Amino acid sequence: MEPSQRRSWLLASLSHPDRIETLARCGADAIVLDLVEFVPEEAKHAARHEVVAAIATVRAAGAAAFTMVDPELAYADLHACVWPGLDGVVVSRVESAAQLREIDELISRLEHERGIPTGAVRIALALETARGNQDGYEIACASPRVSALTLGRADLIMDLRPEPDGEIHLMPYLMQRLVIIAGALGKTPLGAWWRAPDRGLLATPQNTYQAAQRGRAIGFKGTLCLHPDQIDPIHRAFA
Amino acid sequence: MAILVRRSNLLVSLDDGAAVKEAWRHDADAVTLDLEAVPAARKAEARGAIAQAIAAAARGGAEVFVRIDRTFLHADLAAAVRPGLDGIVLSNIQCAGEVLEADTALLALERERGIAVGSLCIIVLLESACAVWDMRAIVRASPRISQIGLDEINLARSLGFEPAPQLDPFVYARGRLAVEATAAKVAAVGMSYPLSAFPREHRAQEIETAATKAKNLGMKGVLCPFPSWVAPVNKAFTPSAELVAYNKRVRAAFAAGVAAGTAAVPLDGRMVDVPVDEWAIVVIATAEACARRDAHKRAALARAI
Amino acid sequence: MSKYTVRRSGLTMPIVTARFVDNAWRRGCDFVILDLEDSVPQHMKPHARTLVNAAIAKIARAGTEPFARINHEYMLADLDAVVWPGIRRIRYPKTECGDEVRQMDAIITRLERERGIRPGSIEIDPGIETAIGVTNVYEIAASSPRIREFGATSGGYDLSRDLGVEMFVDYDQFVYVRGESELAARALGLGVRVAPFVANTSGSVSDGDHAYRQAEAARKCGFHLGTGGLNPAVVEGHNRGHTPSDADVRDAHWVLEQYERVLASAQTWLTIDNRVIDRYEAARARDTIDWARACAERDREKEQAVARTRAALAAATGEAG
Repeated sequence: MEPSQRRSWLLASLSHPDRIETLARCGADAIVLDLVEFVPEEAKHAARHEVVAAIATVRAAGAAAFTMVDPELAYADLHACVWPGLDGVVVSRVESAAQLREIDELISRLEHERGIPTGAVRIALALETARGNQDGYEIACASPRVSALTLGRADLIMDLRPEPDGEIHLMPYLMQRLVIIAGALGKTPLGAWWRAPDRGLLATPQNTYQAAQRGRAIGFKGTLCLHPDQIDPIHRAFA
Repeated sequence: MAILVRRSNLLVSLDDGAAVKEAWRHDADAVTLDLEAVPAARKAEARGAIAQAIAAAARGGAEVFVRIDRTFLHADLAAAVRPGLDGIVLSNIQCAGEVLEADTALLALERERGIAVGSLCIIVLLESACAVWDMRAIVRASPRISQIGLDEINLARSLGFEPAPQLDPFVYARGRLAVEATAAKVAAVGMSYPLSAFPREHRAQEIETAATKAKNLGMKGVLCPFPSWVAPVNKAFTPSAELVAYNKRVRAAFAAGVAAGTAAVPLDGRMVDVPVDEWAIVVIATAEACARRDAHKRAALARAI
Repeated sequence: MSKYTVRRSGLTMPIVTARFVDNAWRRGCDFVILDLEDSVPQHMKPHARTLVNAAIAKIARAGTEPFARINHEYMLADLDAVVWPGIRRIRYPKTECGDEVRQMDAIITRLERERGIRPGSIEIDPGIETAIGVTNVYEIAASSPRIREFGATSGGYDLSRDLGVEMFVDYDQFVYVRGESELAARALGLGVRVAPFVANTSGSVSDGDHAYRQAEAARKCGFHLGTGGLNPAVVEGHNRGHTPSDADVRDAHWVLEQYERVLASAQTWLTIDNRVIDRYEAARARDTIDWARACAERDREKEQAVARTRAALAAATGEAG
């Protein structure tokens, strides 16, 4: 499957390896094995040991296997993740082109050492900070592995809150800007247009469908999600 | 104060003989003869008809443009550039180099055909994400560029999505257009959403409201796909008598304030200071420029009939 | 000292109108901008420059921070007139590029040294009021360490004039402009002075209710810095709108109590009373509590200053009588 055809990217926390098989069989186009958002700091070491088995589980279920990594912990995260079977990594909170080049080089080395075809591991950039967005175009140019761009949880990480009309402050601007950057570079923009009071963790199938439809109507091609019951509405919206 | 009055620019396909023949009757400030829309098989024929079409389109005092097909840049320009032409429309510009290429070709033709050097304008339309991102370089690529706009239908197509009428996908792109154009002293053109991406015929009042919104988002005119848009667009981009009267009061109140020792003057609950007075000067001058343009068109029309 | 500079409300006033400047201390605002620019007639600019030094003390006696707005065209002469002890921030209007700010920084640095002002203490507030300014907004925001807050305000008279748009419409005309400035400010870690769009179709500058709704919308978006106004009628609305209500503070304490439960669990988040409680919500709650405390402290400081001023004025009147 081409990256641009992956509509649903379901996050699965590596803190709960027992749940991964169930999540992988929910029909998501990609499973994002999370080492960042829902893994407490003290649990990260244990979580990294779960990656290899989780990748196999995800691939066996027919979904693409991604991991979400933290650029500050890139060395440990990538050593744990880059194994045959991995389709790519979601780089969370990426801040600079230099940071991404380092990640690219590390992936190249691991590909070489571990018998993975060169360039096979793709990168989805999550531009979740103001710095990352400001330099988003340059960052996306920093590695040929970059195939997709998303704002991830920028609203939370940048502390963007609802305006009186229900729009999340700055997000309409950031989303449309991201779509233009992605389009200019031939990358796939991922996202859904959320409005208050709906929010990732409180998302229902209905408001997910609406958010995904709005996202599609400004150019997004698929979106990350947190619940299995969001997959069906996402697939319907991005059909 | 140099004010470009090109409120409405009526687009007619060179393929549509009747529309070309009638284009001068709609009171458009400009008419664009569209060569790009003509199917390849009929291009040669359309090129042959350009001379006559330019003369016909100009009968009502409109400026005349030809939208050329960049695939056939030189052939199209060779057919279009002649005395009577005011400029060309270039669609799907991706980078500054493409504008330069057209600029150079125009220069050669101006020299060859006895047209004042540098007099032909370019109207640029952008329809790709990379053009939106690189807009600054594009809008400054040639001093011939007098207007720049987005082709929102093709922009959505190139980004691979279908817009929804209730959700404007180009707030960012249009905002960037208004800012980059203004900074480069070029006029931004375009209709407001959703008519910008879903153009259709509509009641005059609806068109006027939409065009007024476009104006208040920084646009200076509209490319009109239908003759019925022209009158309401002209109206929307012409300061109304009430607005002119209000701005004359602004000027008077400001002058009185300055005489009394302050440049911050209350007027109807609002505050008038230097930029408000400066804007009043612009509004009044724009109204006068529109009146001159309308008088010029009326005179041309009287001669034509 | 609080990590916040509490600047919820402010008034811009022509330095040449004595009754505005003399009464400014009664207005209850956190800052006053002494204007040498657009509210001062051209022929009065030289006179205006002679008034700033004395006006600074008049503003400061209410605990209000004195700021000044200088003319784009007269940077040198105006800075010479406004860089005095007590001035906290200088607004440079219609900034077009970073070089202008760097030049201004150099002049202020010299004047601070000559006039015994702590080096680097005077802030620069570059106004983004032209399309060219917007195109260079990041470079401008990054041009001096004296820029600590950055105004992503838009829809001002100058920018509207430059873009050629009528103001006071019922839709947001400045999404792009605001987004560009705000993203730059955030990327540089500056304080963001922004007002979410709240329509003002009357164009009134004295609508206290609109002022309140505008300030409240900004606070609910997480913003603390006020954009100020032109008429004393907006000050109370701006102060109240930017200050958390008691209910907000109580709710924030509740969120932090619930977050203790999250920390005690093995989870990164919990749903409690149909609300997500996680580290992001906890951070917002902490911010609300700290900000409320800073506002209360600032209000106390201002009240005390006003009381001192009243007492001094009464004593002076008594002596005179």
